[in-house]
This record gives sequence, structure tokens and C-alpha cells, in this order.
Amino acid sequence: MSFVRPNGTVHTVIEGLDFAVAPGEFVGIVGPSGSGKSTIFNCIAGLLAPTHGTVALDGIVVGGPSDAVAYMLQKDLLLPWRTALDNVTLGLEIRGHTRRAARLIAHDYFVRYGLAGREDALPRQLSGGMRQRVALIRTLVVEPRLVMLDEPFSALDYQTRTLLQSDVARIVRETGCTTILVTHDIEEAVALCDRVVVLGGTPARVIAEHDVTLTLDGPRTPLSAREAPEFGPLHRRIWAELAPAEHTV
Amino acid sequence: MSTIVARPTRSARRPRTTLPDRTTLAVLGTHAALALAAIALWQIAASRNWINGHLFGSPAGVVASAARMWADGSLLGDTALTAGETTAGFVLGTLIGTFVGLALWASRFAARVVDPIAVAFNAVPKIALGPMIVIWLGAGIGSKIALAFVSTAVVALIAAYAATREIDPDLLTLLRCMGASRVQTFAKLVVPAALPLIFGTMRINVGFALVGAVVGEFISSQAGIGHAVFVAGNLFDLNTVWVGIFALSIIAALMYGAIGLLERALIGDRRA
Repeated sequence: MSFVRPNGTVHTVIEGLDFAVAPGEFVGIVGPSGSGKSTIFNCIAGLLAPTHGTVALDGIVVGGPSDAVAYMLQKDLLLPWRTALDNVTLGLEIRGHTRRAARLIAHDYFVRYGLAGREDALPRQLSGGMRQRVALIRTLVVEPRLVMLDEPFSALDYQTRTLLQSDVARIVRETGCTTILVTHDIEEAVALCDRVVVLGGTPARVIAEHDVTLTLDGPRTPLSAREAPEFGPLHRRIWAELAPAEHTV
Repeated sequence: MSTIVARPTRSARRPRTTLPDRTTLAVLGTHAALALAAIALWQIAASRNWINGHLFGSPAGVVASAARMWADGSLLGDTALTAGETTAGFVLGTLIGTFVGLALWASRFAARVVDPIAVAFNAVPKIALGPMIVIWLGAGIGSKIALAFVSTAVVALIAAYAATREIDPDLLTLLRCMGASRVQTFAKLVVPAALPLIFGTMRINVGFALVGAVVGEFISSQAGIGHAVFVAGNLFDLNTVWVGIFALSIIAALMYGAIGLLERALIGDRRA
């Protein structure tokens, strides 16, 4: 995956990047800063067009932003003048729903995902964790086939982050969306994802891919995943894979 | 070991109500007392000839002038005329300037053409255009409205365009990914995001619009507060000049009030 700079030189950001995500799968992409995570994110979202290489969604090459992909970032990007509910309806309104119809759909999501009662709150009246929950619902309400999460927990304090990770994992699995989580946090990736793709080097390439298979007592949550016997070894292994790359930078 | 007791602050203890709290009342009371003291001091100084009442006017003289102007109808008539000219120029300047400024968001090319011209034109003291505008439009209200208009439109344009440039690019990208058209992005993101800055600019422009209208009246007119002030100044009738200044202050205060009401209706507490 390379890009032509405005001055004509070719800037290769990612090389030999080849991975597939199955429908309904929750895949993590981890790598150090500058490993091209954001570039991959933008290419999948259709915001950047690589000069070489393709991104395909259900066999169709991504040529620009599409209804099938929705994303959530570290910044909640809520509009301060809209209530929580009306922030969620934004995407529906853009797709031609009337405000009334959009509100009915959005309200249903608020109830289903434990935000009932916060519909009329303005973003500034909500905590960081609540704002990210609203942002997640805004992402899901348009029923995308692929959800992209780019460091969505990085700006939160430890406790809020842990709680929100559980919520996001549960909600995303309930909707059955295919999900890609881009993060620098190895622990987070292993705790949440079915599979982890490790990026490294310059230009970046896939160093390793790991299926996260955990032995669990009950249902899988990010907390129970951390208790699994395989969690520590896998975490250490990915850490070791990334460590040399970080030292040479 | 010491104990730290968190004490709620005044604002935390006191729920926000529409009634002014004690501190606000005290501030207002102090304002009133200061104004009364200044007026009393002014009157005493004029009466005892510490200052020349002819050159400074006096509160009693100002009241007498105001009463005379009220009786012959010119106080209300002049104030209404100047208020009308100012408001017309202000509304036109704000609407057109803001609209063009926001519209520049849609075309990077047009913005690059217009923005430097607007900035350069804004550096020109608009009242210097006064004589020309009066020659073109005559001594009637048209030239005053035009001066108030040019005094406000460019400021409104520059501010509205700057407000669109302040919008978080990630928000623009988010709307693009949601499939928003340019028109949808403009209506749902650009305009509401620019509103707070547009209102801030409107407050600044009240003063500019008043200067435009009054200078227009100074240059050539038969009526209006600017006319009354200009004539009285030439006659050394400082009491009437003071009446004019107070009348202009009242116009400005009313316009600020109207802008505040409009802002509350359109934005209210829905800001970041």
C-alpha cells in the first residue's frame, strides 16, 4: 500500500499487508505509533485511496466512503448543540429518514443499550464514558456491515475504559457486526478480539497474526478474557513481536 | 493529621434560578450608586463653577435639553430615525456578510479569491467612504444605511468564513462518511457550528453600525441623533450633545438586548 506524495515521490506506508476479516469477526490491529494503523483505517473507511493495493468489502473494492462502513474514534465527535438522541439520529437523517422516524429508531437503541433516560442530555452534560457510548450507538444505528474502532478507549481513565470495553464488546457481539479495532494497546486487543493482526517495521507489514482462543468458565467478556490461562502468554508473545520494532525507532 | 473538609462553592450551593442572586443585586446597586455619585459630582462642580458649565454641560442642563427635545418631538423622532438607519444597515450587513462568509466554505477557490480582498477592505476605515457614499446616495437615510452596511458586512463576512474554517476536520470527515451531501453538511454542521462566533461578531458590529449611521448624519442630514449632536456641537450646546450620547447608548443597549434574545432562542445552552 503506497501513496504518491504531492511532489511526485512514492511514499510506501505499508508493504505486504494482506489480511482478511470474516463476517461477524472481531479483529484487532495492533502496532506501535507510526506503523500505519491510521492509514489502514482510512483506506478501509474509503477516506484514502492507496495507489497500489485494494481494500475489498464483500468482494467489492472500496472506492470511497460507503453506507456499509461506520467508525468510532478516540474523539467522540458529538455535536455540542444536539442532544444525545439527536446526535445518534444524525446519520439516519442524512440517509433520508424524517427526524421523527430517526428518533424512534434511535430511542430503541438507547433503551436496548442501557442509555435510556439520557436522550435529552447535551454532550457537555455527559461523562467521557457516556459520550463514547453515545458515539458507539451513533456508529451502530445506521446498521453498518463493518464497524471500525480507532483507539476508542484511549482518552478514558482506567476504570471507565474497562467498563466501556465490556459494553462495546457485548454490544458489538449482540449486533453481529464485523468489527475491526485499531489500537496500540496489546492487552485491549487480546481481551476484546477474536483475532489480532500485529503490524511493525517501516514500511509497515504484518508481523504476525494470532487467533485468540481462550479457555473460559463462563461467557467471554474482556474481564473474563484477562483471567484465561492463555491471556498472559499471548500478551507477552505479541509484546515480544513488537518490542524489537519499537527499539529500532 | 489535618482534616480537609470540602466546602461547596457558592455556585454549587446555589441552584441556578432566573432571579438575580445577592451578589448580582449588590453589583447592580453599586453601579447605580456610582452613576448617581458621578452625576451629583458633575452637578455640584458645574453649579459651583469648578468646571465651566458651558464647556462641560451639567446634569440639570441635560435634563432641560432632553425635556425641550421631548416636547418638540425631536428626541423621539431623531432617536427612532437613527435607530432605524442603524438597524437596517446592521441587519443587511449581518445577513449578507454572514451568508457570503458561510458560502465561501463551499468553494475553496472563491474563498481564496475573496478572503484577502475582504481582509484588505476591512483595513480601510469605512467612515472614510462616507463623503463618497453621501454623494452617490444623497443626504437621506439611504446613505446612512449604506454606511452602517459597509461598516458591518465585511466584519460579518470575515468572521463567518473564519468560523467555518474552525470546524474540526474530523467532524467534516464523519459527515462525509455518513454520506452527507455538501448541502446537508452545510445545514447540519457548518451553520450551527459557526453560530456562536456569528453572534459574537454581531455584538461587535452593533458599535460599528452606530458609528456608520452617525457619521453619515454628521456629513449631511436633516434629522437624526447624529445630526442633532453635530448641530448642537457647533453651537457649543453641550447639554444637547449629552442628550444625543445617552440616546445612542440606549439604541446600542436595545440592540444588544435583541441580539441576546435571538441568541438565546437559537443557541440557548446548546454550546460546547
